[in-house]
Amino acid sequence: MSGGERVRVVLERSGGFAGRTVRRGLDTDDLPSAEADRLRALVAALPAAPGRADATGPDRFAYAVEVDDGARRGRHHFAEPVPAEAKDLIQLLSRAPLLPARG
Amino acid sequence: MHLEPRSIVPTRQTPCALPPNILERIIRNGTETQRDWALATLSLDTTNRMVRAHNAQVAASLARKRPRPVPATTSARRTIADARGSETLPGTTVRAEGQAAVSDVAVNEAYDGLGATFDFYSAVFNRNSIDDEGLALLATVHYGDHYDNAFWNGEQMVFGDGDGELFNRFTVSLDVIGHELTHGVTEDEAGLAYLNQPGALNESVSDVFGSLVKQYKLGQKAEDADWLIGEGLLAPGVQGVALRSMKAPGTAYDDPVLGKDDQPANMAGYVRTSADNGGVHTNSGIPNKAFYNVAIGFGGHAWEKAGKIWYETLRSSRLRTNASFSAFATITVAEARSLFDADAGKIVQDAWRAVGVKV
Repeated sequence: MSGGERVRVVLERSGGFAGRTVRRGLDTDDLPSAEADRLRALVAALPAAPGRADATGPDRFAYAVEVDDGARRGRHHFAEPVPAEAKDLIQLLSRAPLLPARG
Repeated sequence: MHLEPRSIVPTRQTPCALPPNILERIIRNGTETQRDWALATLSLDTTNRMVRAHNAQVAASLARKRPRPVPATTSARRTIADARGSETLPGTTVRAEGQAAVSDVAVNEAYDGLGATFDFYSAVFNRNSIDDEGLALLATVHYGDHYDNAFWNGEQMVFGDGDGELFNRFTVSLDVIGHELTHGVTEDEAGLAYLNQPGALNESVSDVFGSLVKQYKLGQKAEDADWLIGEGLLAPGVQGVALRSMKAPGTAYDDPVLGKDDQPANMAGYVRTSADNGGVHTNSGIPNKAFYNVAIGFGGHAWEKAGKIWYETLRSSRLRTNASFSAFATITVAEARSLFDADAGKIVQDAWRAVGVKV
């Protein structure tokens, strides 16, 4: 982990009973340095390779985490129950500002 | 630090190299060793309808009649638990079968909704609970923090309280409860894969029977029902009437925050997406509208003919776990003819053609 570099993370939550897709995102450039460091650490704790989207159980939420740190872009897929190494990041992103839906 | 990628969870439906009809022939004609092997292979698909088909084969091969098992007494065995805002299941039991109502409205709604769904399946289809073997029903309420969802986890029902801004508590709509428990029925009978078209069929089947649970409870005819899914679920101020409309997919809500109901009512509007397991909650609008068309085509109580046809389709050994809309539709037409007559088959066929599904 090289602290200080810009990291942008987008959380896309889809599925659930309502089947709504909601996008939220955080950018280290917009965060106080302590929170930016925490975001970088949580992103670094994600599995190395972007996961494949497995089918979820009925009406469960499906999460896609998109990471863009300049050097690499990755998309990680998680189904509920969310694995431990992604839980804190998804919780943090679930309170992040809403982004417009993908066109 | 990089962690190891998580292991891949094996899927429930293990693909089999040999088609079931060949395995069934082996069971019928093979040696005892061959029969054991074929039965073991077939039993990888543990859905009820397959078990039924295999049992019938074995019974036929034994060529002797056995007395039919005495049906178990059918009455609901309900337990409602409270997670108290945590995500730990099942939580503390707060109301068991036969106990009086409590002060918590979510507990009572869950208790009553489970009862209404049990009664519907029992009275209309002679089905003894979710698994047709009298499964005790467990529901947890107050799951998570402002949790905007309800789901069946394979063993029990789970209800969130909603965020209060977009969604109310998820126990509020009887059709939501019927929808979730029907996921258990579908898993047990058909095992429809929760992805793309079979996933949208899985969702639609839950909407169909969720709505029928409500219509049965209210004694409504197809013409008089609202055909809404999740009525009462949208929080005050949200512009919409429900989450989905089977009668008019795409019209349930249109709100600045929630967005617009994007369900298609016709194959021409089928949505291809990687989100939501391939848009299972979106494309379900197409088979939902087909069912509505069938119900209106017959008229009267929708559970008597349209519901019966859908239920027997779900139980049919011809229904594959990866069924397309068209494959499902073809079986509904055959079931309509076999349960009723050619005219019924025509009503069902026209209903699917009206939504652009080839049958």
